[in-house]
Amino acid sequence: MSTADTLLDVRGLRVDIPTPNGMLHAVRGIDFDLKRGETLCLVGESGCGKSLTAMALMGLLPRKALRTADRLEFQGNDILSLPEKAFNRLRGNRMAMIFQEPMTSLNPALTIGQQLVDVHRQHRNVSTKEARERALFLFEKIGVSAPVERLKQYPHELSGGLRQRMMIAMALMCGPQLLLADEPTTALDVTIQAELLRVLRNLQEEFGMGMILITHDLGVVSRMADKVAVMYAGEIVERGDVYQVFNRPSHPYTRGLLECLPIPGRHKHMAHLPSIPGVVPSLIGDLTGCAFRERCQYAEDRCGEADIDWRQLPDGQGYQCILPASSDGVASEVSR
Amino acid sequence: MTAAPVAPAVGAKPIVTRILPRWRQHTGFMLGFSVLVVFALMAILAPLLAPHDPYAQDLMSRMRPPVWMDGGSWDHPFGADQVGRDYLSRIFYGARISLFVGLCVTLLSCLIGTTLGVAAGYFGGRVDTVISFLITARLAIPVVLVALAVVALVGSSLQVVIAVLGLLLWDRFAIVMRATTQQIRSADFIVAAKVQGASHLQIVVQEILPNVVNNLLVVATLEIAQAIVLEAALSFLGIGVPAPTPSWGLMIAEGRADVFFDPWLITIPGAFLFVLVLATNMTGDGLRDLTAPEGRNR
Amino acid sequence: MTQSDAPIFEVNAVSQEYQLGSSLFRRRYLRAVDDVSLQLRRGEVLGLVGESGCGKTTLAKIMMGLIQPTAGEVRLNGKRLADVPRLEVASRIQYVFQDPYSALNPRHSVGRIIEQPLRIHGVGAAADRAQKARKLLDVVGLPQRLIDSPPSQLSGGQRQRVVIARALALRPDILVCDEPTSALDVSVQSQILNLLLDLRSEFGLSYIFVSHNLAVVEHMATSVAVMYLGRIVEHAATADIFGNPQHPYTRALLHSVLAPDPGAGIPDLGLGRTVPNPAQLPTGCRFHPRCPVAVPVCSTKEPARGRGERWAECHLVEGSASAAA
Repeated sequence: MSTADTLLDVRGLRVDIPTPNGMLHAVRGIDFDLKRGETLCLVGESGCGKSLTAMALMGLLPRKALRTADRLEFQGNDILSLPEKAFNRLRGNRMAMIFQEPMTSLNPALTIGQQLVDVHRQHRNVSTKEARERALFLFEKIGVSAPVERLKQYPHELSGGLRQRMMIAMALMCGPQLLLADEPTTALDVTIQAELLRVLRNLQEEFGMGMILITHDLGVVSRMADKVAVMYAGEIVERGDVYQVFNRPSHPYTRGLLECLPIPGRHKHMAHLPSIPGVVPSLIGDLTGCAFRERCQYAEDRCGEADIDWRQLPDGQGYQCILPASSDGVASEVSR
Repeated sequence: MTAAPVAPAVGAKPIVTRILPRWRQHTGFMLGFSVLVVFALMAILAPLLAPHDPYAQDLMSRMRPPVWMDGGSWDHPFGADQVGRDYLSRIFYGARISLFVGLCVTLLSCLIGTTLGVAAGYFGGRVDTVISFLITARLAIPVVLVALAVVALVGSSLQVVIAVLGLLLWDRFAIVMRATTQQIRSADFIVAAKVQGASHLQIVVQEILPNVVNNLLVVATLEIAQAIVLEAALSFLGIGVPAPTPSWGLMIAEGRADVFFDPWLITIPGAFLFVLVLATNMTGDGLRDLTAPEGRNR
Repeated sequence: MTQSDAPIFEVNAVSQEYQLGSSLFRRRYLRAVDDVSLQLRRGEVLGLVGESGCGKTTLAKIMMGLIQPTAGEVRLNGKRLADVPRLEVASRIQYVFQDPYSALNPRHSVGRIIEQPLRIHGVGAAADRAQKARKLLDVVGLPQRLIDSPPSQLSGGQRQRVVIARALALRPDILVCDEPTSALDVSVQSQILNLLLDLRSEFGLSYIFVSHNLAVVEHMATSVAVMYLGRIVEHAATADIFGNPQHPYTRALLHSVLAPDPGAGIPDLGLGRTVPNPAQLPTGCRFHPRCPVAVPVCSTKEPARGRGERWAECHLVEGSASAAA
């Protein structure tokens, strides 16, 4: 159902990685779409495939990884079969990415200014002066103090928070329509995190970008997302807008994740917190049935017998479980 | 380093079983290692394999060419040298000398180099400064010249060769051990051992050494090859193993005079030397490849 | 849980300076920890909260006796830590690491790792130690079959349980937990927190719980110390810190906790763009360049040092020594 507003349309995306022990199905057929100006949060724990999904969209997967999809469209154009050269024109230009660790994505041998100018001139026919002006304009928006000096500095001379701001500036140099942010604030202190998230939100609103925010932090998700997709073991197990998913979490995994967070006022001081027992199943080889059933308190025999149907609720929320959608009563207790 | 007991790691798989499934796929390693095994057997079984006494002179067979040349016979498959000693037997016994020197030198230099390198890497600071200077100083010493001087003073023998090389070739061990120890010295499991009250010796022996033994093995293999070459070179110069011991280097030296008419005198021991050193290096490179990616298995 | 009055562990006016390289005329120092005093009573959980570079890890290392402070002293059961033999310190106070991947020797088996402290202390024969290791696996909720596994076969949560089992082997009184769950997934985090809570009541442990996650600290701690650029700027019982925070920095930290609350947006902390730099401490109150409520005196005069059970080092706080002056 792609409309003119649709920025990204993904159907049946799979990422498979051959390993000595067999094929690792890291992303197992996920669907989502993203509209202009919208924020989609991919949330899940380590190994759920959320980062690989972003890499697959950017065409940045490790060489031996195999990407397949039923449909992979960016602004109505197929990018699945796009040749590498054409993809290079897209990447850093109309779609850009921010990584968790800015130090590994900035070139330590070049000044910030050089890197910003280079990325702009690579995609746009502009002069160095125009590129510098663009960088200073973005610095202003992002809240970089002493912007002119920053251009002359090298990445190692900056604090972690500033480096991440530089990464954001670099990603925005060409005015992308799609911004992928993979755990952009996880490595930062909490006070800096709040600042940066505000910056990201403001920029997104101002430029009307679509944003995919990848994080494991449900607090961040609840405050940044328009739409949420909860990933588990390479699948999206629940999807909906942020109010639906947080107020009426319907997949047991989503519910479990929300319950086991210590939240001021909800849990008795020093009382046991709810937790999800067990570990994530191996993604090597075929997986039949629900991937979460080993850890699920509601699991029945049929959960392991066949693949679970996707339940689509009339208001747009959907999840992959045999249970009925949780009532709002339960949900309000869960989300406090 | 005193001989503190290194308790066997319960359950944690030893290096051999960890790389076993993969080394079959590494052609270079398999080839080098197989050749090495053949040479080792040759050396160990030399008394059984050798058709003649390697020291027995037989003037009737002087300069008898190898079997594949005109005038050769199966009695002396590789021919016989200037005084009629069976060349094949001398090659077999020569493998003993080469491998023995290689192993002894490596053992000695490994002991010195590892002690220095681990100490430098683990303690850092002033200890590191001093040991780094020692390494730099050692690198400035020309091995062959020192060997010449020592032999001039005390005379040449197998023991002197081993001692001189062993005391000089520890630099690579020290450099590699220093670097690898530095890498893991700040790991939390080292801090954990400190928090438990472990002594420096306990930390080095129980926590650090198991993690650097891979690299140690790789360096040791490469070092064996270097020691073998140097022994041959010293023997060739007449300052290594004294005649009439069957050393390949010495055999090449003795064949020097006849190189134009009977080049096989040089090419046969030369070829064996070349193959042994190549095989050793291939084994070392292979070990490095096979242990590297899993070295930090986290 | 009874809390006897005499502290089992004290940090008295401890400072730690690092020299940042010296030139002929000028030496620069980094004061990682600046005149810090803390007390821990039996059964208490002291939460130590702060951002990276605030000195909390240095302080934790000083508490473990891993670093000798440049000034001040640490006392364990009334005795100076520096005078207590190494092995005795180890059997009284242990450490739980942030990164369970780096904390376990990849070359040893789980059993060997857990009995390592017993081995170092020469406790029992090999069979006894193996017996104890098995019991410790039970205590931390790990299956016996893992005893011969290398750490590489364990998940993050399982590894952290091994770290805890090892720390418990010598039956210590105090565990210093340095961000024990920040490297773990949320679903595992609560398991480890539950385990720590169980162990505390079972063995009468006291914790020093270092974390940047205030939600976790609120759940776990009995009292909280908030650290900023080397000093404890606020100290109080947990309920007071979270119910009635005094210091503007504490308030900002509390605001920065993003509990799941769709539509609530990202709070503006009002901290500005200044980045704290421990190598260049500002004059006056060290928080004033970022403080949203700073007044002129803040940039010239350092607030009075806090003492006692509850304090906030801020000129604006009622009852603080400097506000009264």
